[in-house]
Amino acid sequence: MASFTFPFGATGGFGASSRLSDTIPLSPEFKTSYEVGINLQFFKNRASLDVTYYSEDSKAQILNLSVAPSSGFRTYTTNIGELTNKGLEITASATVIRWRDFTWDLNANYTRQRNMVVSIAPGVDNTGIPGSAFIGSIPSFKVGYHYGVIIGGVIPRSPDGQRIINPSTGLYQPTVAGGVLADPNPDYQFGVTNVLNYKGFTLGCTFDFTKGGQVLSFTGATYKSRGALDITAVDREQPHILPGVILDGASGKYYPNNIQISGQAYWSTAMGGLQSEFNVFDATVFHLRELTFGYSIPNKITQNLKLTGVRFGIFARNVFYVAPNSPIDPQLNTQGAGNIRGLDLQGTPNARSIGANLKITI
Amino acid sequence: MKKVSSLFFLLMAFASCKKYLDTNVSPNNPLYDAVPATTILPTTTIGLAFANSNDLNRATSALVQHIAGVANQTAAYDVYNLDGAFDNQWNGEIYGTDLNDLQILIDRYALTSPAYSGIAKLEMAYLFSMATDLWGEVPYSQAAQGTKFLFPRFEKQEDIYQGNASMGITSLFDLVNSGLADLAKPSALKPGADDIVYKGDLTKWTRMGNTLLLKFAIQVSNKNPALATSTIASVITGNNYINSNALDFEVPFAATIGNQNPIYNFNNINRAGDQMLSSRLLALERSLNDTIRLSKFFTKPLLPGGATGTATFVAFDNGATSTVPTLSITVGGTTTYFLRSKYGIYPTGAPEPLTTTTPGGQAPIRILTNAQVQFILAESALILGTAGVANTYYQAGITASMQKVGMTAADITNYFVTNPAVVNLSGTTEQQRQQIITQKYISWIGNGIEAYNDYRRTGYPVLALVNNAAGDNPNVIPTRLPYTPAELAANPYAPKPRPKTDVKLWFAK
Repeated sequence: MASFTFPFGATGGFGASSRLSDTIPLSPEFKTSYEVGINLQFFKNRASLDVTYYSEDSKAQILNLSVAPSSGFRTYTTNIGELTNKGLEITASATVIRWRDFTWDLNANYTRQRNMVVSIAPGVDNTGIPGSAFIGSIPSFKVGYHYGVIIGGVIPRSPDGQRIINPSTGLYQPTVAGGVLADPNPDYQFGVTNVLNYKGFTLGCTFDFTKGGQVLSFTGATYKSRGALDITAVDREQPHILPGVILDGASGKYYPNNIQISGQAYWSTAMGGLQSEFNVFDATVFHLRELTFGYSIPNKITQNLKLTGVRFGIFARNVFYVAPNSPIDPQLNTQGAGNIRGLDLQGTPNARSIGANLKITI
Repeated sequence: MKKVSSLFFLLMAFASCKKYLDTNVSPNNPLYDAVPATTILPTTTIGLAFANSNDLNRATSALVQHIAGVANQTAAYDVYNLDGAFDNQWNGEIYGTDLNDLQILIDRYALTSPAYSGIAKLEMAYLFSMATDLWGEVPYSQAAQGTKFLFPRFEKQEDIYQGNASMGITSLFDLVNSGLADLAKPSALKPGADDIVYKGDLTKWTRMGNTLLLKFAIQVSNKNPALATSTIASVITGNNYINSNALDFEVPFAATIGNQNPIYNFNNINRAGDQMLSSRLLALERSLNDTIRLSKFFTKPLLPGGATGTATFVAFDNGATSTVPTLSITVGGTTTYFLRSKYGIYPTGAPEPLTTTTPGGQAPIRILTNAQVQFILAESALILGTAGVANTYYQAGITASMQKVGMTAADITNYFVTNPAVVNLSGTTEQQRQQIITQKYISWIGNGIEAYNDYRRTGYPVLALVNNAAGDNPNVIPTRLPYTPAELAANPYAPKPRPKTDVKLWFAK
């Protein structure tokens, strides 16, 4: 698009940065943390249980606060806000079976975390979390909500909670900015690792389960708007009517939507928007993360070969997943490392890998 | 040896930093206090012209059917799909990068060098009028002041134009008057080459300010005819406004890459396939026998060959789904000629026949013009009864526009002789007003914002809905732009839900 770059002939030009800062220096961030834990060992250390509960309170965080662009600037760097974080972590491990040459070791962990944005700054309800995201679906701090909720436009609703239809188009009314689209924080996460040994053979499997949380999926939106999801195939040649209500301007009452639109408009225009509330999916997912099988050649044989050990193995990672309420693997984070979660910006799917290894120790 | 080492130490001492504690200061972001007015003023002036001629201009030019958008965003604007657009314009062309810099000029120079604060106030008044004319209720008295108001309130259009003492809102008229007063004061620093429009001639800035008053007055004339009448009468009496083409407030650009005007940059280089002449404007101009002037605004490609053939207007109907005419043809494997009517030499500076590499972009962006003033005075004489004869101003406006776009004196004379019904006002007051605004609309080709302002204020020229209209309300030509996503998301005072684009502004008819 068009742009202008100084110098302009012999004339230089310079404008203010889009970031504001205080005239007073920034102070360090402060965090108060309490933690209690217990570690129990049973049956001659064959089983252990580790339970930790923590509660943290972070204050005076250094933030690039999003300010109204009409202030002439975009962000304001300052010490601000309060965030609490409470959580429970349980780790259990046990040798479930030890019988002759057979052992079964099990390791399980459970994590449950609840965080809350208590305050940001006077008069400020929400501000974006640093990282790259698109306006209209910004992971944010929002007072009274969990850390990292995704804020964007939501369709206005009638007093009884139904979405309002634009009477001149039969589509939904333009969205109202500043609503909470998605909360990526799961209810809990649970993971189990099993290892079975018999003589030189080892079989391992790791699975995990995440309950709750949400993902805004651009991939899901694209599938939907292009008619690639099952739901879009139902009666696709027939006229559709969006669920919702129309406001009758004269009486001030709402009546059910009765405007027919095409299947294309229904799925693509009304529900297929990348940043639409219709493309927020429940992120509950079960993963079989890893499956391994190995065999170590007995020492008698390796010693004859003058080797310390020979081990052969095959493995598979990301074996399969079950996500009952999402068209894609919801544990896809396009942004990689960083503080941004719950956004699938049409990232490549997690790959399943299968391989074999041979380890020779000399 | 001892001497040598102490000398070495001395050298070391001189080579080190003057201050040890400046490690936290980035040399790439100089402290703003260190930036002189001579560097800020060019930024704000270019910025103002850029805001006027970039995406907001494309959208409004499509809405008033100067152009037809045929691809990408301009095609969306063409059929009223405006939701979600203009973040860059609001954030980075109006409030950020311009109003904030103007506020800095005012804060820093109002006491010592009011020449700069005076110019800044005039530019600021223009930019705020642009914002409220497009969006209605916008941040104004609290806007662009950084930490003072991180979340500026939205203020009503009538308060922005007329002021509201109880809310501490200075009217746009008084902002201009305050700028004019500053210009008259002694000033320690005075602009020179850094004033890229008038080269430091403050008397011309005074004319620019008085012309702004005329523009604002006619804009509020539906709702506050008393204020409009008194303002225009006093400017006429003062006789110190833009009254010749040489005095036009137009911001220069250059053909150098990076310095080109946004119209050329978009129309010829970046998005050559996105927009073209509207067949509705072509029909209007043909009905007025005014195609010579139109050929200065829009190109007439040589058909069918590009390099050779018959010069013909190639236009497109707004919102039509028929096949868009071929964009270009490559001749001899080297030169690619455009085959659609695109913005021509007057808005872009690029001569015909137009190719993908024709240099241009040196045309200035016209913000306030003599032709505009003449049409304002014609309308005011007609509607408000201010001094002068409407028909005289009307003809002066047409002449100023024709001269400005580069028609020859013979062509202009010929046009006046052969088209008496066009160049003379006749009929009812309303019909005469329609004539005036229609001519003004033609003179503003290339500046859709001003044509859009007049259209919503008067309803002229009469425009039909585009084909396949969409947006908030497909049955109404949008009367305002939707608020931008970033402002809606970040500012708790932004109206939510945003008003739909069919909700009229205060000044509208």
